Amino acid sequence: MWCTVVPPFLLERLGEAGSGRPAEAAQLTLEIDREQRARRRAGATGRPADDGDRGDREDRTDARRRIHDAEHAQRLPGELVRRENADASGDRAVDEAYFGLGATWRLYHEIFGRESLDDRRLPLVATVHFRRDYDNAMWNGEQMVFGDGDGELFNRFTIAIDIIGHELAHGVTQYTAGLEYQGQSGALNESMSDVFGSLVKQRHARESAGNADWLIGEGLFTDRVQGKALRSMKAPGTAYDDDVIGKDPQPATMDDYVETTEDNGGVHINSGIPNHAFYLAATATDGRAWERAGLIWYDVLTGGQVPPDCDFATFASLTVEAARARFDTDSDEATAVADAWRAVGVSG
Amino acid sequence: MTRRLRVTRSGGFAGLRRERDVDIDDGTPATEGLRALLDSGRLRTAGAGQPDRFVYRITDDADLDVTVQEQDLSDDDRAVLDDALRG
Repeated sequence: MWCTVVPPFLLERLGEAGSGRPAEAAQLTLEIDREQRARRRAGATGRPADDGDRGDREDRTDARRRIHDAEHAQRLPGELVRRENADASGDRAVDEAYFGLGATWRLYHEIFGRESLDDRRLPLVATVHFRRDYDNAMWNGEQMVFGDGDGELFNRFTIAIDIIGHELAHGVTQYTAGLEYQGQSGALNESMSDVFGSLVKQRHARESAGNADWLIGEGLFTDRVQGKALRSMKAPGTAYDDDVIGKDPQPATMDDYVETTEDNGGVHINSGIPNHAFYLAATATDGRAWERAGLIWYDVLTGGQVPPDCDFATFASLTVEAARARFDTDSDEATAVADAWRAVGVSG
Repeated sequence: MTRRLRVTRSGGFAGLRRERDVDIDDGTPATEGLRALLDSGRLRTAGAGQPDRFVYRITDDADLDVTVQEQDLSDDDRAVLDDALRG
């Protein structure tokens, strides 16, 4: 187990304080500490620490991406307009989709050792410009589909990289836990997509868990809407509050769980509860969310123990077990995960 | 006697709910389409949810209450419901 007595940020400040022995000693301690942290992560993850996504606009991957243009019709997949390793098309939605698919593919490949959505090198197919004014993005079981938005309330759905990560995560869930899209298992399905979508965004921005904004779909609303984003994992229920579209209905804890028959039992509403649990678990220990909490969630999602009709409590127990298995029974990570589910009222 | 319908759309990535009450006998083209769709018998509650698809629900003051998944609707039928929501 990794323990430090002096917090790293304090050591850094000491090290900067000019010449002399204390500063040198602090510097040395800092270096050793960094090395130990890196080794400890390597021990937990089987690879050295990762500080972010290194892709850029010219990115090349083995993702076998194919971006199609529906040209505002609804036939899928539509005209092929950019394939893997081809130059940028100049169409903003096409190039955003291409880039977002690449960043998502790299998260799974480089952090989780996963070969695409099915772990069997499934090509990543996306269609943009689907229908006219289509206010949605989705995974239809085979590919991603992105609308352009109506321009009044919504911008194009490729505008935020976490939306792209969200849709692809639905593919991963389909090939792994197969969470039924109804009630609590449906809200968990939604939450998996927000969690891994947020990890794509944070890794792309090279953010630590503590520095990330934990917003989902930032930039999707036009400036006519009073709201920062679609959802907030940090503070569910606060992402927007607008005269036309209303207020963000997400609960953060079980006290405010919404019973409804709409939206397949409120899957986009009650996902706020597991979303917030992930946020709490990820921010309780320092570092990058994909290096600790993200690994634990991924272990559960792909571990074969999640029943299709999994409820929040079952999922919570599985994450605690996974944290203990990966990081030690009495590790900070296992404690953080157990505390997080208690804080949202899922476990007692 | 006029007949009032309530059309609701929930779900989608954004999870935003939209709702509109429609007077089915107002004689406008949008409600003509809706009336034809109701009379066709094609609106039936069925099918499991799919990630981020819209879910439509149509109710009236009597015993009509159908929930239809976006992917189970034909393009034309879905357009009728979207038109009704837009008004």
